[in-house]
Amino acid sequence: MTYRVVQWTTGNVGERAVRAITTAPQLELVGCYAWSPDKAGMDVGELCGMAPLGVTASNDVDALLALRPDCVMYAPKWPDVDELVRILEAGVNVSATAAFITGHALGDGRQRLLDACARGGSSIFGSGMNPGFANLLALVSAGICDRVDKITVLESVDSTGYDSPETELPCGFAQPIDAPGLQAMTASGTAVFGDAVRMMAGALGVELDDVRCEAEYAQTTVDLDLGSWQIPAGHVAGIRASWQGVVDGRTVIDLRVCWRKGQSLEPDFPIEHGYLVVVDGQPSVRTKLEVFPPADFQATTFKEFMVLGMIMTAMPAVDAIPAVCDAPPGIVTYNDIRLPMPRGLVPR
Amino acid sequence: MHNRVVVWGTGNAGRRALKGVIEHPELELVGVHAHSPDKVGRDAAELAGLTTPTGVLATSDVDALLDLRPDCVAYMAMGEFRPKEMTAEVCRILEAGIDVVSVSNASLVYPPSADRRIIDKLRAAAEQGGATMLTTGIDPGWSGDVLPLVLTALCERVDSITVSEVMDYGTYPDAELTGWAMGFGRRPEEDIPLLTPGAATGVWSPTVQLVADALGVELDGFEEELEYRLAPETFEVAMGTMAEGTIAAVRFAVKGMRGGRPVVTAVHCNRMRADIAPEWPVLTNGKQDGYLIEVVGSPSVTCQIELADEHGDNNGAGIIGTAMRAINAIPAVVAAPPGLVTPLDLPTICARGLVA
Repeated sequence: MTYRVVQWTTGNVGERAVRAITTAPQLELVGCYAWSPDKAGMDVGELCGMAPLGVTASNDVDALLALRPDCVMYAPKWPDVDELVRILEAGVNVSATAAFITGHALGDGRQRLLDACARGGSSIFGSGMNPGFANLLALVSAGICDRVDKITVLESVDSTGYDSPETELPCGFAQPIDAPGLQAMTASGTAVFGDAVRMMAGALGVELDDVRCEAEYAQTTVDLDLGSWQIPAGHVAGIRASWQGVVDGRTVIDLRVCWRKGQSLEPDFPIEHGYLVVVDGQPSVRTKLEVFPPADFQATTFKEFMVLGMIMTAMPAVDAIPAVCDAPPGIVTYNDIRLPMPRGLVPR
Repeated sequence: MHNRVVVWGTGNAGRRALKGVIEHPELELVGVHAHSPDKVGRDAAELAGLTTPTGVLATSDVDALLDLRPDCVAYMAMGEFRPKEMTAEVCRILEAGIDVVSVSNASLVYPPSADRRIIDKLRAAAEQGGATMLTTGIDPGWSGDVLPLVLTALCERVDSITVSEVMDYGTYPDAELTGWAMGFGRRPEEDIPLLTPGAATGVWSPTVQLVADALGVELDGFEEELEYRLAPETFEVAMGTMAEGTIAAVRFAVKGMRGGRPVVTAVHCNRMRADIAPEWPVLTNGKQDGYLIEVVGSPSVTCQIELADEHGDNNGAGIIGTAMRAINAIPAVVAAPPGLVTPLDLPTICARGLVA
């Protein structure tokens, strides 16, 4: 069975999603949304640096929904509830990379999405590298335990090359180090990790008393040039945040990020260069995940190097499309869908 | 909803399964099957190493256990060297309409490429009874199949997947199966099951095939590598004495091939002492032992998994993991439609209800 997919936006992540959709034998690209008038009307392949695909990008939402796709692969930087409601109530499923896991981070928007899913008989799912994939890895890791005391997921990376100001500025990067409200800003900018805490609690069958965010910061001592944006000296260039799920005053889920930019942090934030999943329990399970460029990888610029991060953001959501389409209506997570089975990844 | 469970077998994994079921808030232990006369009649708690009696006594009476009408049997009895008896026993359970989670006979994790003679009987029994069966464990069942599939979710291209169990078996008290079959403490010229060409492929190729099928890769066939190292002097391990000149380390690889190159490979690298075969792989993130999953592609992903029980032991942890993969899968298996199922048919299996 083939699933007919409309790609939503063709930014850095969307571009990788288009490549993946056109590679996967079980997916068919039938349309593409691009809001920018410069992109609308262009061939999607050309927009994504590929050979022409014979599919034209459009900014006509009604025309795209009239294609009756099985799924929209939703890859804007942030979710737009109005737009998602329109897609879902038209009976079209959504797999998203746009900061979506359970929808709690959207406040009242979550109920609007649930209502739209009910009207359209459609499902919405969100993933990405982290949150998303990293939480699935943690849940699978804990599947061999007879007791779980705490699950910690740590993303610890030098993100100097991840040039994405639209998603990074709202987390607190480039703010003055003594800016008032910095904690609240980080809690808002990383709120989707709180969704991931809730999703994991659901898998473990625990009722959380509280989901909270704590953060600490490092400033750069020199001006940093990050490609499309800059962080002046004395401003935030390192963020350590911890999203915690609390039961009876005890943290049972701790989703931590340590992001640093440049080599001039004060105080210094040492990093692990990867992902660490620690299940404290019986047995204890300690999983270290590292990601490397492929052997044939050539990158000379930040933008080229960033491609790996974009692939890892796009792929979990693309892989899940068939399982999302087959899921019952509503907001679905890895707890509700079967294990995604990516096809067509192994070249002949 | 509580699932009523019978645990079948009280060996290493069986005892941990018993403990797992007794202590599980969403499962109820209703029966225990034991073969040996010195276990029959004893309380399940005692067999599981727990102090509070359960009132459930071990029995060898199969009819009485089936009459309990449990939702699921956790079949933890060894099946590798008694395939006929194991098949007959499990078929009886399935025909009675009782679901089964099993860690017995690793090749059954993927029915489409396991031994037809066994699978046909199990499938017919499941159909007749309207029952579901899952064969699982830690490797295979977790590290060798589910985890690599989870990891490929990050890649837009996969060239190869290699899953290695790198374990020092020095603390593993299983001379009967692991020691004897893999040749530990025996001379290479003896009749050692694992050293028979094709034996490793027979056991591990279904796991490799599961991963290949999940990725939509048609394999041309399998190739096998097998090597061993001898004990440089006599030393003692949990399984017994490793005499000088007997096998003290084994490494095998079962490679799923396409176009002349391995696409999916299952490796076991097992030492009886850490300093033997230093040229073979070790983990590099802290402990030397654990599971190593390497996906080569775009991007390449390397995952190192270390396990430890309360004594810091990886083998004790492996036994818990083997048992709990099965126990944690019970609600999903009970909810699944009848037939022989694999992880590809089930939702994510987590430690539901087990947060302390």
